[in-house]
Amino acid sequence: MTEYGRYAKAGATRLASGSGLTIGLALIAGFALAALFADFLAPYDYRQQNRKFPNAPPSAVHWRDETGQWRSPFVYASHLSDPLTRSYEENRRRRYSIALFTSGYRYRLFGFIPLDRHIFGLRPEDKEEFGEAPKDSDAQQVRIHLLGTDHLGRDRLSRLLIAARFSLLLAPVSTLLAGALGVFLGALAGYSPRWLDSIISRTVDLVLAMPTLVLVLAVRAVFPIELPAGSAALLLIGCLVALGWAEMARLVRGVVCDLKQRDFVAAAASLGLTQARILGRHILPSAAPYIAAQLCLMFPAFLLAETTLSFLGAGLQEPEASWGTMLAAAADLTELERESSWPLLAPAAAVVLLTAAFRLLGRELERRI
Amino acid sequence: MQKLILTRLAEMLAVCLLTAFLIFVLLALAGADPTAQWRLEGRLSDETAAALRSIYGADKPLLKRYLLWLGSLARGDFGQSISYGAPVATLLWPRLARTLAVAAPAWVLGWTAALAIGMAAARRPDSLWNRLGEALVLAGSSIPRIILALAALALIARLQLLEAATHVGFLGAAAPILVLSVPLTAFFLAQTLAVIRSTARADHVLAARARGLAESTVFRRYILRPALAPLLVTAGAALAATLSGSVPVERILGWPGLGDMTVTAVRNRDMPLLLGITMIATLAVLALNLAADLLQRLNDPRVRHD
Repeated sequence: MTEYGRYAKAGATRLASGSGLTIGLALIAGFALAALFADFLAPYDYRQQNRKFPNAPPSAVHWRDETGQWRSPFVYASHLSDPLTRSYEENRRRRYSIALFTSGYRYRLFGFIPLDRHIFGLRPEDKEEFGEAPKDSDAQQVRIHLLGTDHLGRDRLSRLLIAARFSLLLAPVSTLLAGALGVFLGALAGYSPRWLDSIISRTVDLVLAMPTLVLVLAVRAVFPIELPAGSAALLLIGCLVALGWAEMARLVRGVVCDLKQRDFVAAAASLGLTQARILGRHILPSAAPYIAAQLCLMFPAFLLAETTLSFLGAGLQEPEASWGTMLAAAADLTELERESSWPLLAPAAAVVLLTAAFRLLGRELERRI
Repeated sequence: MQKLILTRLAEMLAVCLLTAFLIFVLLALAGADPTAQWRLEGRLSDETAAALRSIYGADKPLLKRYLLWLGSLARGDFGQSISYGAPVATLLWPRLARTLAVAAPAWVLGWTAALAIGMAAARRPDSLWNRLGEALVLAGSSIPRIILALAALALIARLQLLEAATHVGFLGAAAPILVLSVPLTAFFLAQTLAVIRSTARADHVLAARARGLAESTVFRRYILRPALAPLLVTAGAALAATLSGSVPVERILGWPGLGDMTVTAVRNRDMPLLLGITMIATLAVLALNLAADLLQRLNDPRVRHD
C-alpha cells in the first residue's frame, strides 16, 4: 500500500469515532437542514410587515385554559395596549390552537416544488371556541410569533430561518473558492523555483498583515451602498476570496514542501510521472486532512465577516434578512432596556453555535492528523 | 540589520501605495461619483455637481487622480473629507489616538492574562487552570467581538450604566477594552499554552533544574523567554485583527475612534477619508510587524545570528 493510502485509511477509521466530531457535524447538519427547509419551517413570510404588531414580545404558548383544564397548546390573541411603551395585552376570551402542517403563504421548496404548507401555525377555525364571535379584523390579527416581531412587525423566527439560507450559501461558497485559490497558490509556491516561491510567500505575509475588515469596507464603499441581494453577495464573495486565501496558501506550501521530500514522492517521480500528476494524485491527497482542518477555520471567519458587514449596513440590505441586519436592531439601548429583549440576541446565538460547531470539527480534525 | 529595516520599510511603502492604487482602479471601474447621492436626493444642480466634482478631482482620469493624491500625500495632506468637510489628516489623528487608547490596554490585558493563565496551567498540568485555559481558548475564539459587544451593551442596558458608558473617558473606555481583550486573550493563550507545555518538559529546563537553579530563575530564563516568541511573531496579525474588530465594537459601544469613523465614511461613501483610514491602519500593522521582528531578534539569539 502506498504511504498516502495508509494515511487515508488511518484517517478514515479515526474519523468514524469521536464525540466532538459528532456534535459538530450534527449542529452543522441541523443548520443546513434549517436553511434548506427555511420556508417550510417559517410560519410567515419574512418580508410581510404588520404595523399593528411592532416589537411584539414572543407569543406565550399556553397548555391550560382559564378554568385550569389541560389542552393542546394554544395562544391567545393579543393586541397593542399601549403604543408608547409597546406593551401588549392578551385577550383571554378565545383560544387559538397551534396545529402542525397548516397552510400559509405560498413558496417553492428547494426553488421548484410549489407548496403552501408550514410545519406549524394557528388552526384557521377553532371548534372549541366559546364566548362571542370575533370580528373578522380581529381574527386576521391572531398570529403566533415564537420570537416576537421586529420594529416593522415582521416575524422574527421566519427572518432568522430565511437568513440562515443566505449565510449558509455565501460562507461555504466563499470558503471553497478562497480555499481552492489558497491550495493552488500554496502548491505552486511549494513546487516552483525559488523566486516565484518567495514572491508568493511574501504576498501571503503581507495579505495576512492587512486589517481585512477595513480594506473590505473601503472596497465596498467604492460601489453603491444599496445593492440588490445578488450583486451584494457577489461583491462580498469577491472581497472574501481576495483577502481570505492567504492562510490556506501558507499552510499548503508548508505541507507540500514537507511531503515532496518523502520517499513515496521520489518513488512516483522515478516511475516517470509528470510533476502535475505527482502533485495532484500523491501529494495533495496526503495534505487533505490539513486542508480540511483549515477549511473548518475559514468557514466561521467568513460567516462572521458577512454578519459583520451586513450589521454595518455594507452587506445584505433590508428588507432581505441576514443575521447581521437582524443584529443591527439589537444594537439599540432603548430596545435592549425593554422587558423580554432576549429574542433580539437570537441571531447571535445562531452565529455562535455555528462558529463553535466548526471550531469543534476543526479541532477534532487537527487532533486526528 | 539595517538592510532588513530598509527593505521592510520599502516594502511597507510599496504595499500602501499598491493598496491605494487598487482602490483607485476599483473607483474608476465602478464609475464612482462623490456627488451621486446628493444628486439623487435632488439637492444639487448639475452645475454645482460639476463644480464639486472638479474640487474633489472626480472629473480627472484615473492615473492623474492617483498621482495628484500621491503628491498631496507626500506633503502630509490626505485630502478633504466629503462627509465631514474637513481635512482628512485633522480628522484621523484624534480618532486613531482614541482607538489606540482602547486597543493598547486591551492588548496589555490580553498578554498578561494569557501569560498568567498559561504559566499557572503549565506549572500543574492537571489543574483547574489548564481546563480554564482550554475553555477560554474555545469560548474566546468562538464568540465574535460583535456579539461580545452586543452582550456588553445588553448588560449596560440592564444595569442602568448608560451614563457611565457613554462617557468618552476612562469609564466609557472600560467596555470596549474588555470586549477587545477577550479574543486577544484567547488568541495569545492558545499559543502560550502550546509553547509552555512543550518547554516545561524540555531537556534544557530539566538540566537547569538539575543545576539547582531557583524555580523562579528557571521560569524567567528558560520558560518565559521561549513563551514570548509566538506572542511577538503574531503581534502584527493580532493588531490587524484588533483594528478590524474595533470597527463594529466601537460602533456598537459608541466609542468615537477610528473604527466608528470608518463606518460613517462607508455610509457616506467618503473615499478620501476611507483611503486615509486604510493607509493609517495598514501602516500601523506593518510597522508593528517590523517592531515585533526586531524585538524577536533581541529575545531569541537564534534569530539574531541567522
